[in-house]
Amino acid sequence: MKRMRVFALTLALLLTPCVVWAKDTLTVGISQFPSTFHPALDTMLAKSYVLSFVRRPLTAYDAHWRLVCLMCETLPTLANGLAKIETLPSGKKGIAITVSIKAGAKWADGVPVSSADLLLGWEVGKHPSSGVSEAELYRRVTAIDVIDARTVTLHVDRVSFDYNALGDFKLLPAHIEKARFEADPARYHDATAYDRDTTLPGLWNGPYRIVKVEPGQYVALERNPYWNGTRPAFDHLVIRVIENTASLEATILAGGVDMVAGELGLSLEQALSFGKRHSDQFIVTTTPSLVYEHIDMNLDNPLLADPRMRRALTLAIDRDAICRYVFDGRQQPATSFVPPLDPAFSPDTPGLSFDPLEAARLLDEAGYVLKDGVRTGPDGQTLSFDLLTTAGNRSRELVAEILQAQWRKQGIVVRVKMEPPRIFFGQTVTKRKFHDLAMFAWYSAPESLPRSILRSSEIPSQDNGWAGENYTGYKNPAMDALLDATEQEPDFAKRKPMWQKMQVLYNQDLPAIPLFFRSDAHIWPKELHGVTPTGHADPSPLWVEYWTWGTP
Amino acid sequence: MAVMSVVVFMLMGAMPGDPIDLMISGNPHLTPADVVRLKELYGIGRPWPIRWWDWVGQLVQGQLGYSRLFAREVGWIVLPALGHTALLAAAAMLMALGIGLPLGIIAGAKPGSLWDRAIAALSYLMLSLPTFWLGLMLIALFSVWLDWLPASGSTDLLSPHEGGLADRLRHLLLPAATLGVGGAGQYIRHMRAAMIAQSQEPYLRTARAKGCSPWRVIVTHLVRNALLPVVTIAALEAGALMSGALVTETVFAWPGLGRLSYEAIMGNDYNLALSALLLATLLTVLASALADLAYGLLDPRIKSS
Amino acid sequence: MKVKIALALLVLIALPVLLSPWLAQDPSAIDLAGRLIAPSAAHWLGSDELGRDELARLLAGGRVSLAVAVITSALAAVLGGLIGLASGWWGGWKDAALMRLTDGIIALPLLPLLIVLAALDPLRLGVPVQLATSEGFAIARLIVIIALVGWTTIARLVRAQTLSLKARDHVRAAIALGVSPVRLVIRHILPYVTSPLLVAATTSMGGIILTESALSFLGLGVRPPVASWGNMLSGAMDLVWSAPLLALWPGIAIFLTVFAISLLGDGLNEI
Repeated sequence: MKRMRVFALTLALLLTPCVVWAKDTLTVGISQFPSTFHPALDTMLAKSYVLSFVRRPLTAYDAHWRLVCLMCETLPTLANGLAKIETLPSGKKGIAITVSIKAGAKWADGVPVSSADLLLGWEVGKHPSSGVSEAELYRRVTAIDVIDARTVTLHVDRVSFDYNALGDFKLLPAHIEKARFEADPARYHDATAYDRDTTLPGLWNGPYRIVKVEPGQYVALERNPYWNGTRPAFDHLVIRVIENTASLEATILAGGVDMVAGELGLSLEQALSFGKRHSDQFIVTTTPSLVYEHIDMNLDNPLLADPRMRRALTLAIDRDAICRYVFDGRQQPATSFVPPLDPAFSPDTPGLSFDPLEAARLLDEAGYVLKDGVRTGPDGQTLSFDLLTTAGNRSRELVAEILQAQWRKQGIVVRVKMEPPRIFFGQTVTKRKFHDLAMFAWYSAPESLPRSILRSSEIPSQDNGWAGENYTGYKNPAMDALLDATEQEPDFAKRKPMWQKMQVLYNQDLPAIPLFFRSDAHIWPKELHGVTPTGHADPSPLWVEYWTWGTP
Repeated sequence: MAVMSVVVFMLMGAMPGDPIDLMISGNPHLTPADVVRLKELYGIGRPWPIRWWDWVGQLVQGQLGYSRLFAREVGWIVLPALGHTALLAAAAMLMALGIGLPLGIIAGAKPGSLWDRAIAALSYLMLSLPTFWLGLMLIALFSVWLDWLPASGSTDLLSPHEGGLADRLRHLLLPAATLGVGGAGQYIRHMRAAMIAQSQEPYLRTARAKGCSPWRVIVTHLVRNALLPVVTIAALEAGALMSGALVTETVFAWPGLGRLSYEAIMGNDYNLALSALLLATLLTVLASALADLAYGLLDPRIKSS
Repeated sequence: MKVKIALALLVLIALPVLLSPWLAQDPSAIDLAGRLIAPSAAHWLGSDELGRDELARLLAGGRVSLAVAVITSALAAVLGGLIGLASGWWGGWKDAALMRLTDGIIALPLLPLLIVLAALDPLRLGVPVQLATSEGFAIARLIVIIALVGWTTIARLVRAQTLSLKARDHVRAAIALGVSPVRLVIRHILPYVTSPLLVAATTSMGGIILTESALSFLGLGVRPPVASWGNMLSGAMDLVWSAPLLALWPGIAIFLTVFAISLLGDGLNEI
C-alpha cells in the first residue's frame, strides 16, 4: 500500500505541469548560443543580445534610430563643444571627443566604472594580438587624455560623420581584466575572465549580471545590486537557447519560455502564424530591421554588365505580391540599400515595382526575344541564370523559389542552387565565385556607409587577398566620390542630400536587386509591457529596465 | 583512433570557409587587416599536418585544447555534454529494453499467434518512423496539447525543483522515448528471432519431454539463452546511441555530445570537433569490446572455439 | 503472405510516383494567393506554403527519395559484395585486413561522420564549380556518402556465405581441378550469394530513406528546390503548428515505404 502511494506521488510529480510561481523570473528564448561573453572578441548576434542585459555601451541607437547616451553623461557633439575638430601634426584634420562616464555607474561588485576601464578597452582593442575583431575603431584613436576619474578626451585621427557613435568602444573592468591582459596579451583571448569566470560580478555593469552559464543551454541573470538606474522588474532573467525553431515554438506554447526574442528567434512567417493562433495570450510585433535582403549580380558577367538586363531582372519580379502573401504585408520592398527607419533614408527614391511590360521591352532591346515562352538571344541561346543562395534559411529558400517562378513568366530561366552558409560565405560570395546571381543579406548599423560594398576599390580579388565586400564588382566614379564626401561630412544636414544622391544612383545602376528589409518578429506575453524593438544592431534589452509585468 | 583523428583533421581541412570568414560575412566593419591578424592569431593559415601534430602534442600533455566556438577549454564543454548524452542514452536503452524484451518474449513464445502478429506490426511501426518527426509529434501531444511534460531542455531552470530527481525524469521522458523507440523495435525482432531459434534446440525438447510446464520452460531455459545474442546487440547499440542521439538532441534542445559535435563541425571548431568525434569513436569501440566480453561471459561455448 | 502484402504496398507507392509526370499537376506551379489551403477537390492533399499542390510535390519527392534509396543500396551492395567476395575467397592476411577495415567503419560514429562528409566543400577537392553546384551533384554526393558507410553488413554477409561455399565439396573439387578463380567465383559462388545479397540490399533501402530524412533535417540532405520526402518533412517541421497536415503526408509516405521494405525483407528471409 505504502509503495503504491509513493508510486502515485512520483507519478503526480512527473505529470503535473510546471508550477506557476510568482513572476520574479522572466525566461527569454533565443535560437543561438553566444560563442564568447567577451564584449570585444568576436562579433555575433547572440552575444550582443545576451550582453545587452548585463553591459551598457557608452552610446547606442534607440528604438527611433537616434544616437543616445547609455553609459555616458552627454552625447559629445560639435554643437555642444564636447567634440572639436583639431589639426593633426601631419596637417590632416582629426577630432577630439570628450566623454564622461555616467555618474554613479558601477560594476556589479561595487567598483565604480572609471576612465581606467575606458583606457583598458583601448589598450586591448588596439593591441595587434589581443584577438579583438573590430580593431579599426580603436586604432583610429591616437591618444587618450584622462581628465578625471570618469572623464577622458579621445583624439581620433580623422573626421568622420559618425564620430560620436562610441557603442563599439568597449569598456573593460580594469580591476579584473588589466592583470589578465598585461600578463600575456597574445593569450588574452584565452585568459579573459569573461570566458574563464563568466559569473564574476565585476564583469558586468548593466541592470543584470550573469550568475550561471550552461553552454548550449541557458544563461541565468540576476539583478545587479549596484545598478543605479531604473530598477528592473524581474529578480531573475533566464535566456534559454533552443536552436530548432519548431521546438522553440513548442517550448513557448508549453510555457518553457515566456517570450521569444525578435532579434534571434522565429522566422517572420512562423511568428505571424503563431500570432494568428495565439492572439489571446501573446503579442507579436514586427519591426522593419536593417537586414537588407538583396541579390548581388556579378557585373563581370557580360549579360549582367548590360544595365538594361539588370533593370529587366528587377522589374520582372513582383516583390509586393511576395510581401503581401508570404509576409502578410509586414515586410516592405526595398528601393535601395538604406532601411526605411534610417535617418539617411530618402523616401523619394524611385520605386522598383513590378512592371512586366517595361521588363519585356528592356529584354527585347537587349536582344533577347520571346520564343516558345523562353527569351532567346541573337545566337539562339536561352537567357538563363543561376541563383545561388544559402541553404537552411527557410524563408530565403521560399522567396528564391517564388522569384524563379516569376522570372520564368517573363521567359527567363533561373536555376536555384542552395549552398550551406559556410560554403556560400566562405567561398562563393567572398571570393566572387558566383557567375550570375547571389541572394543574401547585409547587416549594418544606422547610417552606416556602404563603403566596403559599393566603392570600386573594395572589389575582392586574388591580388588584394580577397578583401572588400564589393562582390558585384560595381565601379562608378560618381559613387566613389559620393562615398568619400559623405564619410568626411560631420554635418547631418549637409550629409542628407548626399545620402539621397547615393540612393538614387544605386537605384539607377542596380548593381544588386533590392528585395526587402527583413522584419524582426518579437513574441511576448500580453502581461509584459515596455519592450521596445529596435530593428538594428543595438538590441531591445539595452532598455530592459523599462520592461514591466502586469495585467494585460 | 590515431587514424580517425588524422581523417577528421583532413576532412575538416577540406571544409569550406574558416571561422574568420564566417565572422566577416556577418560584419562589414571588419577590415582586411583585422582578418589577416585574426587568422594568424588562431593559426588558421597553417597546413593541417602541422596543426594535427600540435594537437597530438597537446593531447599527450593531457590538454584537449581550446574551443573557439565556446571560448573555453574543450574538456570543460565536452564532459558535461558527455554526461547528458550518457544519461539520455542510458534512459533510452532502458526504455528500449524494457519495452522490447518483454514484447519480444511474448511474440517469440507463440510464433504465429495473434499477439505475435500485433507485436510484429508494432515493431515495424517503431522501426519506420523518422526520429525528428516522432519527437515533434510527442512534443505536440504531451507538451503542447496535454501539457504534462516539458518540451525541451534538461531541467526546469530556476524552479524550486531544479535538478531534483522528479525534474530530471520529467525532462528525460520524451527524448528518451524518442531515441529508444527504434531500439525497442529492434529488440522485439531480435528477441523474437532468438526465442524461435532456441526453441528448436534439442535441450528444450528434453525439458518439455520431462514434463515441465510450457511457461516454466520458456522462462527458465528459452529466455535465458535467447537473451544472449540480444545482450550483445544491445551493447553494440549503446555506442551507436551515444553518437546517434544528435537528431533527438536537436529536437529537444538536449545539451548532449551529438549536438555539440554537429555544432563544432559546422562551426569549424577543430579542437572541439576532434575531441567530440574521437570520444564518440572511443565509446563505440568500448561498446563493441563490452559486447565481446558479455558474450564470452554469458556463453561458455565461445571459449572453446 | 508478407511478401505479397509488401509488394502490393510498394507497387501502390511506386506506381503513382513513377507515373506522376503524366498524372499529377505541375509540382512547381506556385500560387501565392492559394497558400496552405486545406485538402479539396482541386488539391487532394491541400497546398504547401507556396501554394503548390502537395500531392504532386509528394509524388515528385518520392521519385527522388526512391531513386536515392535504390541507387544507394545497389552501390552499397556492389561494394559490399565485392569486398565480401574478395575477403572470403582470398582468406589469410588480405581477409584479415579487409575485415579490420569493415570493423573499423562499423566502429565509426556514423551520424557525425556523415555530417563531416556532407559538409565537405567539393571545390577544395578539385570539383569544378559548375558541376559542384548542379542539382544532380548534391544528390549524387548523398548517394556516394551513404553507400560508403553502408556496405559493411553486406560485406560480412557475403564473406560468411563465400567461406561456407568454399568449404563445399564441389568447389574444393573445382579448385583442385585448377579451374580459374574468376570462373569459379562466377560459376559456383556468385549464384549462391546473390539471393541473400539482394535481400540484404532491399532491407537496407528502408534505413537509407530514414538516413536521408535525418540529414535533410540537419540541412545536409537533398536541397530544395528539388523535393524529396526528407526535405519536405523537415521543411514542414517549421510549420508543424500551423499546418500539421504538411508534416503528416511525407511522414506517412516515409513510414509506409520503410514499413513495406522491412516487411519484404522479412518475408524474403523466411522463404
